Amino acid sequence: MDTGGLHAETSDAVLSVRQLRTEFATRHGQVAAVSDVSFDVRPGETVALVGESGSGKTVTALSIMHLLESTGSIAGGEVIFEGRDIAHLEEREMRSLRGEKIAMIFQDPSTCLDPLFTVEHQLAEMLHLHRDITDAEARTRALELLRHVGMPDAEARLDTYQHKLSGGQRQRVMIAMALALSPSLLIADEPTTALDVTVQAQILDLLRTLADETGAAILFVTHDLGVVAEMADRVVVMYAGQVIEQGRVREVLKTPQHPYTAALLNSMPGNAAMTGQRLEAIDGSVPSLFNMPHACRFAPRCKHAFDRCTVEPPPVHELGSDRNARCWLSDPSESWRRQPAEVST
Amino acid sequence: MTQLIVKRLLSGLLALFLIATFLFFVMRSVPGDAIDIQLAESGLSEERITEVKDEMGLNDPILEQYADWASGIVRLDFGDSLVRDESVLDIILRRLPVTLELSFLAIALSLAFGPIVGMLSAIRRGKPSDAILRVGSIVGLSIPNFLVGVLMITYLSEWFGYSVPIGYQEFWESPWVNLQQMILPAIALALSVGAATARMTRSSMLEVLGTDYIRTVRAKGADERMINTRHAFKNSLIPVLTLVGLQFGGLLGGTVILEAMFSLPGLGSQVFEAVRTRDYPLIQAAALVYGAMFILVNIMVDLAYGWIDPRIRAS
Amino acid sequence: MTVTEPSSISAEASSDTIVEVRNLTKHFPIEKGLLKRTVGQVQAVNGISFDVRRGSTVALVGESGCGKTTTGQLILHLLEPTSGTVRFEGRDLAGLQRGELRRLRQRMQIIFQDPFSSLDPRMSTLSIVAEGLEVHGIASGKQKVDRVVELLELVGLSSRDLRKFPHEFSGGQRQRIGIARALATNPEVIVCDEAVSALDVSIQAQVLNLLKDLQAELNLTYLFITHDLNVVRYISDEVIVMYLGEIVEQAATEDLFENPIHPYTRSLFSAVPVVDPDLAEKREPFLASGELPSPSNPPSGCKFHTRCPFSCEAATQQIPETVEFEPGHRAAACPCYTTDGVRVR
Repeated sequence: MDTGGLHAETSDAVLSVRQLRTEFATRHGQVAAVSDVSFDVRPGETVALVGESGSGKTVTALSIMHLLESTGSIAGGEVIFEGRDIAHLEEREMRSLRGEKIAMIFQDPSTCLDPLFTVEHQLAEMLHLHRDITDAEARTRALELLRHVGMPDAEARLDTYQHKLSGGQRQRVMIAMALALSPSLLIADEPTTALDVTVQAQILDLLRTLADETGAAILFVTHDLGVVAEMADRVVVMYAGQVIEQGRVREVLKTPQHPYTAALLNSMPGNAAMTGQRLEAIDGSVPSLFNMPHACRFAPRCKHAFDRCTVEPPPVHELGSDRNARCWLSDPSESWRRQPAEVST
Repeated sequence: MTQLIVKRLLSGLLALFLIATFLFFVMRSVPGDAIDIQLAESGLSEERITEVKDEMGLNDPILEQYADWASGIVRLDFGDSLVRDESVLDIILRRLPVTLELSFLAIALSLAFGPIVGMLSAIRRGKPSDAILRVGSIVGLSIPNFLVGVLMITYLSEWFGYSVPIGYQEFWESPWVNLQQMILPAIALALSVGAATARMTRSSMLEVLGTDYIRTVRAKGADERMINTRHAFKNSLIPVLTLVGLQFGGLLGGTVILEAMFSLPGLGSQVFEAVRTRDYPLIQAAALVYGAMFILVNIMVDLAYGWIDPRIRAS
Repeated sequence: MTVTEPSSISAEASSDTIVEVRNLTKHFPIEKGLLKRTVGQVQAVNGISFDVRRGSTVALVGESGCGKTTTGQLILHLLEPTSGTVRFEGRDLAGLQRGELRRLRQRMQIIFQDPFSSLDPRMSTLSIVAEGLEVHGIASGKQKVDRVVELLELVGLSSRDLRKFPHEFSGGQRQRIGIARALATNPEVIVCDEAVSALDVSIQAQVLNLLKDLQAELNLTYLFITHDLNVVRYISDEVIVMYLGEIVEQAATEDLFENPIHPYTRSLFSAVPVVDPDLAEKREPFLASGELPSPSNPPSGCKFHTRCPFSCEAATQQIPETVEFEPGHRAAACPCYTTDGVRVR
């Protein structure tokens, strides 16, 4: 329970995040954007990190990469990557991991490529950084990579700049770059949020295919439960800087154990539209980092909250293999309070 | 890109025409002229003075004078100096190289130091070295360049007994003497442009360092040196270029005073003299030359944009 | 009465039609060079026609570049159409005097996408909401304040918020202010331009519910511009699907979702991620390939043929006719996928 409550041995995981705490320096002192976050990503597996804005999902991803802005830092916990804790790894060593072992793609492909360098330059740069190869070899490899990610007219694209590419093409370049050195973990931070839905479908398809091919594990950060259902094997739900529930995607989406997960599902218009119900909005808004409820962070917005929820922080309750929830309702002594059929999808 | 340059050239020519016209009429509206000053001392009779002025066309209707002058410009004929017995064009051609050398040296100095200082300041943001560099650039910006000139002349001789060699030597005659004569006024001029450039580079670089594409480079495993020098610096230069183009105007103004102060026989010291003696044709022509230099430099800035930024190259 | 083509529409629209759009076209010239020669046209909206029934919600859906936002602005007469007409209660907006148009504007309002940039940060809630009241001379002084309080309460805020500034509110609350502002002049038609797209799903649900409640209470008519098909399904009565400035399909919401006809509509549906894993399995495989062609140089014939899985020779030349497949359900009928109104695959 203290280790975030995961049964699975961490040894077989590519990435094990344990009780991660990330703080930011602000005018009002240190504030934790992420606290007590634990989850595993196993080889070849896609794990979705899902939550709304302010949930800490992106901060978690950036913490793993050591790409937080200068005011942020890891204040506690472990980030075990391939058996080694990298939470406090020196920048020098971190650099050799980035790109080579852990790659990352980001939300808005239109701002993620340097506008002053060609596609080839930016792809080749990745190769030169970690491999001792000639420019000609790098160019050949860059072309291969572009073809591999389904870039139309790949050869001509090598010498173009990002402003000549569409959003989908830019994201393909980012993916080509990220997978250039066959990393064992790809962190994808909302990679399709800025794209149109038909292009999103193409990019998701591409990511799935490439992950299968290369065997890379994916940590997929998203706010969209639909994307979670399409992409992930397991899902980690975050709220206000904490993991509140995790498990296999099908189980979590079909039978959510945490009231927040259930409420999130019920507030999706697609579900309500089909059943003709009124949307079940979650009242209020995410608490401020400066003013966190000290017990359960979701309690002020929770329909099922009872006195214990506002007094005592709920622990992470194990619910079978790979499944847990941070909620008093999952405590055996309180389970009588749980109403059946929280969600109907 | 070509279209942009053509557009800039055309609007530059229009601007020159407006400058020339404006100057022509403003100068004419100032009471007293060169002949009055010269002839007043010669003891000639009123009638004779009128005759001389007639010969020189100074009594023609002002629009006629303007038409004469404007048509001359097109043929690069700026008329004769009212004071010296020489055509204005000859004076300019003789004097201009000195001013060009001085401005070039000043710009080169400010570009050699300004952006680098700005980049270092940005990289060391918040550290003592950043604070020192920032204070330094504010000082550089706020001290007028003629004061820097005076201070350099005074204290170099007082502390080190150094004085600038007297008697102007051209660069190919005696590079060492020429450089000694040029370097001090060039530094005085470069200080403010360099400081402005440093400040602009710093803020622009800080902005670039926060962008997503820099995060991408970092995510690739690049080290800070590569991030700063290759990606961030290049991207941060775009607004700096604009600033340099604009600052060039102020720098040209500075050459007038500093050439006079350091006794450099450039166009600036000539203009200084011409203003005192109301030598209209020379002042007007010089103003046009300065205007043309400013416009040319800014066209070069546009070209440099295209060289750095593919988005502009394409448009 | 539902969306209809001009060819088959009766001379005067039925009495409960509040907005009538006929052959609406907007081309933006592309200017080049010193002399601003017009070298082309961005065909943002290309001859679209539809009716909006009083009290209903019509959704305009499509991906970026389809012309939906331009259509919204044309309907409010914020843009001058290149050709075609917009009638509000039978009156052609183009023929109106300035004063008449101003009076009409009171009755048609807009809510924008971004709750962060659409409110002036230096104006208090009171002045933001009261602006319309003052501009149109509806209320002033004490009466004005009372009305603003009434509006704020209507959208779930309170009189305590009167003196606050936009930065003191969360995204959802700002969008409520935007709605209060739009409601100030007692409008009948509200154009919601991606009004909930920037919001987190739990907050989005709050705003969608609010919009539904307001509609029932005030008999509002919504033109709902969005790219989100889940939102469409929840909120709208009728749907118009646009692609490259043209309407490809229009139908009552349930008809469209149950039985999409046009390959583009089907592509959209197949691309939207579905939360329910069981439903996801039953979905059509993804159809559209590639990305949106430039609206300044649209493909010949059927504009979708470059991305259409059914594309055939005829589609590259022949502009498909709009056919009423079922009562109220119209779609551009391309020879490649229809024979006498029957879909082939």
